[in-house]
Amino acid sequence: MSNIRITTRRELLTQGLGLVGVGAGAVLPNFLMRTALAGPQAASDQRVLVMLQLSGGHDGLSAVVPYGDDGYGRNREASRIQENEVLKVNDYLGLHPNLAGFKDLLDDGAFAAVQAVGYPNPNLSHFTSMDIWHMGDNEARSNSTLKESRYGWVGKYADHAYKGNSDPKIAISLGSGRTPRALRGREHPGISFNQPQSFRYLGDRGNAERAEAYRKLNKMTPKGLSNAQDFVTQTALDANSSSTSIRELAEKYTSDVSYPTGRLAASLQTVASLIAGGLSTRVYYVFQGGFDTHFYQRARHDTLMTELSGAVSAFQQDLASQGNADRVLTLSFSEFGRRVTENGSQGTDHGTAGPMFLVGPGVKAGIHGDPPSLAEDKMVRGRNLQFNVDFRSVYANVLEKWLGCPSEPVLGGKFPLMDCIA
Amino acid sequence: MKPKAIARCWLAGIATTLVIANLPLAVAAEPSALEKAEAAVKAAAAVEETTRLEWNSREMARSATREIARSERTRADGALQDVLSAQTVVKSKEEAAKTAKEAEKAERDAELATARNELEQKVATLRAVVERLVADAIAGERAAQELMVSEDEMRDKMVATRTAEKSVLELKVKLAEKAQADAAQLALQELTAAEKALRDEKAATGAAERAVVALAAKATKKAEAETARRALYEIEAVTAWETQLWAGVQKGTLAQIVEMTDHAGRTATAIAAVEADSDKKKTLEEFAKLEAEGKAAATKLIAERDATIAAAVAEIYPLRMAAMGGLKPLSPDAWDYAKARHLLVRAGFGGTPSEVEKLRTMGLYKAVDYLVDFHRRPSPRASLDVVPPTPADPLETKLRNTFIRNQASAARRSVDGGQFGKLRQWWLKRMVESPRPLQEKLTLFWHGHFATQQSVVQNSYTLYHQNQLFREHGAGNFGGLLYGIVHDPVMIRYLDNNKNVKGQPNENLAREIMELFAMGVDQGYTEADIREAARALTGYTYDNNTGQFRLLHDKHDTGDKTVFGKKGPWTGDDLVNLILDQPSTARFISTRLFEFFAHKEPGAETIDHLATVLRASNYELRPMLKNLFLSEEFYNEAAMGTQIKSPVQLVVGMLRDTGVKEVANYGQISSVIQNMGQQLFEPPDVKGWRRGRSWISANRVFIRYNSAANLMQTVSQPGGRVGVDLVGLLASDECKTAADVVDCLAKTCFAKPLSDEQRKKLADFLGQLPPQSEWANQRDQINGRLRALLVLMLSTPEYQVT
Repeated sequence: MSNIRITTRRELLTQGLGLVGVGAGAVLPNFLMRTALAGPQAASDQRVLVMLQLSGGHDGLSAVVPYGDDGYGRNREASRIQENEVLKVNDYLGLHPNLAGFKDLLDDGAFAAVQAVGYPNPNLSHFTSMDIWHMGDNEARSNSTLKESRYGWVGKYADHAYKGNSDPKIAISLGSGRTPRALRGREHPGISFNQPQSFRYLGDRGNAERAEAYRKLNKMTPKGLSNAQDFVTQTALDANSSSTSIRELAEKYTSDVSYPTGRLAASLQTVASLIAGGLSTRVYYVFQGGFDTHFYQRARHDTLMTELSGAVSAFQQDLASQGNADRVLTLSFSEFGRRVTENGSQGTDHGTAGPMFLVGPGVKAGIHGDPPSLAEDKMVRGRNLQFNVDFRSVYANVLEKWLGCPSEPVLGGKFPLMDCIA
Repeated sequence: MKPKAIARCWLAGIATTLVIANLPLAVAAEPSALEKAEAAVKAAAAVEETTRLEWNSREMARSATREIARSERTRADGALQDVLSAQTVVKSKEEAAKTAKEAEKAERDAELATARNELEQKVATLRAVVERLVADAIAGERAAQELMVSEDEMRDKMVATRTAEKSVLELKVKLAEKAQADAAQLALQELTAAEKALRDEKAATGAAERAVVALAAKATKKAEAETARRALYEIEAVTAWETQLWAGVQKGTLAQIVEMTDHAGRTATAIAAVEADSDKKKTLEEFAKLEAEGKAAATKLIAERDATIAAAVAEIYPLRMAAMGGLKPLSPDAWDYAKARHLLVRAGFGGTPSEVEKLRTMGLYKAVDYLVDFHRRPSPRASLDVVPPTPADPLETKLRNTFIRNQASAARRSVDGGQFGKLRQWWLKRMVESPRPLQEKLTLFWHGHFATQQSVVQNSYTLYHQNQLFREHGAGNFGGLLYGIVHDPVMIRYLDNNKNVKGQPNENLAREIMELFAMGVDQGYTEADIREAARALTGYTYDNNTGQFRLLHDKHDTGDKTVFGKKGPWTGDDLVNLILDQPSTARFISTRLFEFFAHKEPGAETIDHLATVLRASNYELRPMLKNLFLSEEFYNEAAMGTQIKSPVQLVVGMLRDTGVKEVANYGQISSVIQNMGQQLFEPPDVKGWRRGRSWISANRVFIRYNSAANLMQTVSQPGGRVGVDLVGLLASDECKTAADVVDCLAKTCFAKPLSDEQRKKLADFLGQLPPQSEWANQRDQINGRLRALLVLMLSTPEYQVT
């Protein structure tokens, strides 16, 4: 929007929208720009992607269990899931016993897993590896000073697909204080909040006069701002403009589906309410934490699987009853998998490759990709899994086949598409 | 380089030397001027020395006079007391004589006569003493005047010497710069020759090498010229300093005269009261007049000396900074309210308009000294009683049941958890209340720089001591801080150095010291350096029960290590020195501090200057911080009003700006800051807070607005006050209209002035208030309206930036 001339803005606003009194040189809220300019529109019936981040490093071997592999039994003792427990997919693989919801979805043709997803030269630090997944670029380690590399892959998608249309709601993150790096784009900084109800200005204490003064004051922006000031102003304008619509949609929503308790379920229910209301958002971002299972893994991981499967199943049910299931795809990832061998505390340390889950009627159901090899000589960096699928191949496929956006400009390179969408 | 090539270079070097030695006549003639100037310096120094001796003897003579005068004064005081008591005796005898019966009268009269005689005698003694005193005082006055003349003489002589020295240095600079120019010329010639020779393949190598040598000579000459120029700055700074010191000495002499004449005057007045003799009275009156005149003259002179000192200070600062190779200081004339506020916000957390005004009145130099030399000001007790965590019962590990064992350790940890909450609130209290704001700002900086997390370390005792390390050495020596960190149980635990043992080195601490703490990513170290440094740090651990550092000798690798190309049996302590010797270290620290205090995009040259000052002062941070806060760059457009406030800055600044001197419950402050995304002792990781834009998201905009609004209306203060007292804050300003109130609060809140439109909207919102004189009577009601206005001003993008 920086290349639009002030005169044009003014013309559009004063004539096209009938708004008066906005001085030349004022920064406009992005939503006004969207209305004013004929950029691509995010329609309320378009496909939606829900990114599900499993934070802490998820032990994929305990979710998609290679129970038929001798290597699994050799390396796992305390955290091991026995053959008689797994929900068998085939002679070699089975799902974690608490992933019954996923198993049902699989049987209905609405669940897929891509095995052994990772990237070359893996980094075992939580934050560096998370940055790599968020930026979709494993060259751009966190110390990079290249500006472009500071944007996330979802942000770059929004910048590319919605060029000239800075609808702040293209990507929304729920349940994390700060906007995840993945959402950060040049034109689309992304929105994040915990609950729609708290996503509003409360300083007026319900006083209409104060609310009016706040509204007036936050409409004006003097020119000649520093970059930092510009950024804050822009973000504040976006927040104010989207606060009302998001809250109204969330308040209107009702559902018969009962969600389990927990942060993930609450976030997904909010997502369901916003999808039901037809918000223009294309990518939602939700979180489940607690996967850094360095000790007593089995019991903790079991609980996590129950939460995950329960929350996602309820979400799918809700979407189905809304009639929106067909246009929603949920994709999970974690910054890394865990070490193949257990440590001395009945847990596992940071590892490398792991599975990604895809949920929704739009997926090509089943288990994709070769299973990770547990043979000693095939492991890397000291008993860690060698990846078989680059995570950007999954991103690329989702971008092209689901979101309908060319992947190359977003990922900064061409990656073979990992075929997992119908 | 091959031996043959070396020999060739050597020969070329000799040739160059010869060429330089035979420089044209103009240069050859200079040394004689230099010799002359140097002789002049010697002569001037000799004169200065004689004058100094003379001045010393005068000063001694005057001291003696002063001593005599003092004892005379004591005697006069005694004599006066004698007279007064004799007078009382006479009076009582007179009374007795009046009322006595005839028979006793004769006896009483006799007694009265004796008493009168005694009084006469004592008055006579007093007269004699006073005469001597007057004579001595006059002599003293004369001696003092002589001394002052000789002080001036002395000063002149010193100035003469300095001027002579300066001219020598100027000549040297000229020579060095000339040599630099010549070397450059020579290098150019050689280059041209090399180019020519290149065509002629035979001579190519030799000429090229000569050109290289000439270029090297040019570089040396440049460095020499710079050193010469810096020496000149130094002597100028010293001269200005001497001027200031002499003015101080003379001011002292004058002050003594004033004090002496004051005393003499008091004695004279007392004497006059008992002295009936009109002659004496006249003499004393004249003397008193003389004294008063002398006193007035001396006071006037003192004022003049003060002015001289102030002028010299203005001269010294820029020169000192130049002599150290620092950044150019801001012109003191450019110092204004906005800049004073900028300084107080950045080198502290902010303050009320009257506090900003106080800094402005001090002037740039004093204001910077005031903030940076905080150790010269008293501060409330800067310590907290903390206890080390309860050590685990040796039997704890034997508890078989995991749940029971967790219960035991949770009970143990909850004690530490409680202490930790206190620690966090104690620090926030210091940030809000300390009269040394920069000390706390620097503590915050170093906490983010040497970042560690309570959630990982789980030991409030060691964290408190780490925090005190930052507080006590935050403006001290960076080497000291780095040494402290290498011995810090928190950092050792956080970066696993307790697992770094001989034979099984753990590189975590060594890597972060180089990458994040001292040198910067990929700045002058290799992976091999990290591996070797890790070996130097083996055995550096801590005692879990006492929370103290411990060096385990049997776990320490005593073998030779090669770090930065230097080989030796280095320890962790040696490593600190090795790192300080690296050129990237001073640059890295300067960059980090500049980014924190000024702005995020310093130029390479800016950092060069700051790093030069840091190295010149052997990593003492104060001179560099002063240079930074005095520099033009700290006050330019890229720096002022360009920083997104961290939650700590936002909240602590808000309290300080609105004059909240003390908060009753710092738990409230702590949770507000945490909601906004910052938690003390809990930075996101070892890289610390990313600052800037990372503080802002759509959701956080609302959290910042809402929490700020809430805090301003509910913050509880000792004495039961709830909410900020804006009536009190505005009391020192004259607020006639709503627009005046808006302007005063805008001055409090914003780095930049409001637009006319904003002013008008805010004034309209506030509406008409009763006259300010009546505010105190309707304090709660007026405060309510003012707070609603303030909340609106805080709920703006402008307030998020400073």
